[in-house]
Amino acid sequence: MKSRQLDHWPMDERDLTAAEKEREKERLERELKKSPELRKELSAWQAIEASFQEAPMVSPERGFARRWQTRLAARRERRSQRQVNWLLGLLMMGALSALLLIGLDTLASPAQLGSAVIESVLRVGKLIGSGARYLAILGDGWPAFMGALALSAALAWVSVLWVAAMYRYAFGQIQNGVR
Amino acid sequence: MVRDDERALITAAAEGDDDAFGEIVERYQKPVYNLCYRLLGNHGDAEDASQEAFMKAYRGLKKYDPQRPFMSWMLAIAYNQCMDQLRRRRISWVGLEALFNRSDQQSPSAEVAVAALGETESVQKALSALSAKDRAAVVLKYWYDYSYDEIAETLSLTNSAVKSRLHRARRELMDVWTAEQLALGEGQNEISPA
Repeated sequence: MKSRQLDHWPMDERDLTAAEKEREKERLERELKKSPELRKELSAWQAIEASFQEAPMVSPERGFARRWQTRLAARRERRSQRQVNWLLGLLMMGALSALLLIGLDTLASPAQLGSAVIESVLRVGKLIGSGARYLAILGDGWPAFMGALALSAALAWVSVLWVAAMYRYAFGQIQNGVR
Repeated sequence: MVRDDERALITAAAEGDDDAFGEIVERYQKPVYNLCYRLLGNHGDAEDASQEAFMKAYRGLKKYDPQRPFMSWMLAIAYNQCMDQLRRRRISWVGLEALFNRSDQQSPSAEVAVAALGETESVQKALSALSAKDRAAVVLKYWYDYSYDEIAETLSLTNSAVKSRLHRARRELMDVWTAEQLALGEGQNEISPA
């Protein structure tokens, strides 16, 4: 059975003034006298409302806050484990790349492993030196010096950011940033 | 608005004081859990959703606007968590029978069992007929005594959308209730001796 009749106050959602409420009450009473269907619907609604009011607020099992603390601790544990894994992964990748470079150099002459390591370090230095020379060629004097300074500052800034990111990943204090 | 002691707790928790947030959890566990239970229909999912809601609140505490009531902010998080959970797992509202079966498996405390027993089967069945959003509006209205404005704020709806949801929900509740009463009446007629 579809109930489509009961649209009177207090069933509807209008914001009525006191006078309007009185008029609506009178209208409802008049119609209730005429319509048994309406009476049925109103009593159904009153029963539903009463059952809602009787139904209690459901509580969680005891120790809810303690279980939450445990969950938080587990999340933190997982997060710091993930950070360590990231750091180890990055270190491994760096070490593998260095080994690959050195290994390629020593393929021809395996006996010269020590010099190959030194050569790899020197190669990085040469790369930086080439950059500086390139700037010196671009212009002499003051502009070249400023350019070199700016490049050095940018490189230093990137290095600081990288170290800070590494530190944060590995040892950063985890507070509200739980994942 | 937030009370002074509550504001102090929130500030402390936002600065990383776990005990302060533990106190917040203690204070709000019941309303948050009740909303999750009414929306999800069983204690296992309600526990998970309310725990996650507190976890999200903990993470987002710095974004909380103290001009807004904390309870309504917390319930909004719980509501969104429940909607996510319903979408993800496609949980359907369970009747009282399923609730008891599940509760037996999870061996709930006496407190929880008593709370479940205190509800009539008709209330559960009637609520289960509503969509999750309509159910949330009804629960906030009748269990939390929220005004239309408060419901609108919690569920991120307009005031008129709340009114129309409640109106529709009432219609559906009455249909279910009346049908059930009719079925009950027929059942009794069959049992009663001629």
